[in-house]
Amino acid sequence: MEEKDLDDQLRNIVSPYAQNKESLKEFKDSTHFIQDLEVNSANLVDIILDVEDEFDIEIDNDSMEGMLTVEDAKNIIRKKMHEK
Amino acid sequence: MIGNDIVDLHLAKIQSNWRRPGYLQKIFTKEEQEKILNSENKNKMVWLFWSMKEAAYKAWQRKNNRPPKFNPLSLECSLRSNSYEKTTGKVIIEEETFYTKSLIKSNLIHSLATGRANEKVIWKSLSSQEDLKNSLVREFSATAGPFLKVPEIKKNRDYIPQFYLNDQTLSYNFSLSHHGNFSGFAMSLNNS
Repeated sequence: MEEKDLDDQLRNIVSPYAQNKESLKEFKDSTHFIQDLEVNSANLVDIILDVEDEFDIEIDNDSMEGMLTVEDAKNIIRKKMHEK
Repeated sequence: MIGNDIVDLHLAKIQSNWRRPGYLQKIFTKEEQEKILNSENKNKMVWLFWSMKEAAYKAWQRKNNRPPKFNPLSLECSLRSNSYEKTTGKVIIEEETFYTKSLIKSNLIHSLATGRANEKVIWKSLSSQEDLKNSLVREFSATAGPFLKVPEIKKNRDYIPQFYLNDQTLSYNFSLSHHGNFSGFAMSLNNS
């Protein structure tokens, strides 16, 4: 999958839960879901479920534990897609 | 060591659909899910357990100086007493026990977690109009002060807020939380 496509897909998933819309404009690898985008922690679960649906993968708890930044999410998505 | 978490029940209803397939399974153990589904007020039970987990996670993170992680399923909640407004319970995280107290009102749930059963704590919930940090600094200065300068609140590299005075960290443990129309703080009176 192209890097840009993955960025765009992830950004689309995260957008409705980001309370800081300004940070959303600077969506980059180091963007932290909670600290930068101000995603409510209960909505992190929604992001994980949306990612699972969109990419048809399953994110286990150990993977979910480290999914705090855009880069973390992309790494997990790539790994799970590869394992399919 | 302490942590606190506040949930604005009205906003939670708008922000989160916990009935979404797969949602409960991602964050609650089988026992917790059973308790939720068998309870009279499922919505309250979801947010009660959630706020207990969040509060305990914050206390655990501070106690062990851990970087942030997100694994709510690895925290196990149990309730000890569940009276009308005040609920007490326990949360186990990586074999450590944290003791919780939760204030339950029609529009909010505010949970406190402490590392010891009888830790001395000041915890308050505020409406969002009030300034959370100012309120905490006032309370802190009254308890641990007086200080020549007003202590500042800054986050450390693990995103844990701390008091600073002249760029020196003050070793007092506290926790901030806000959600929707409410905010809350908890401050330990045992100097760490």
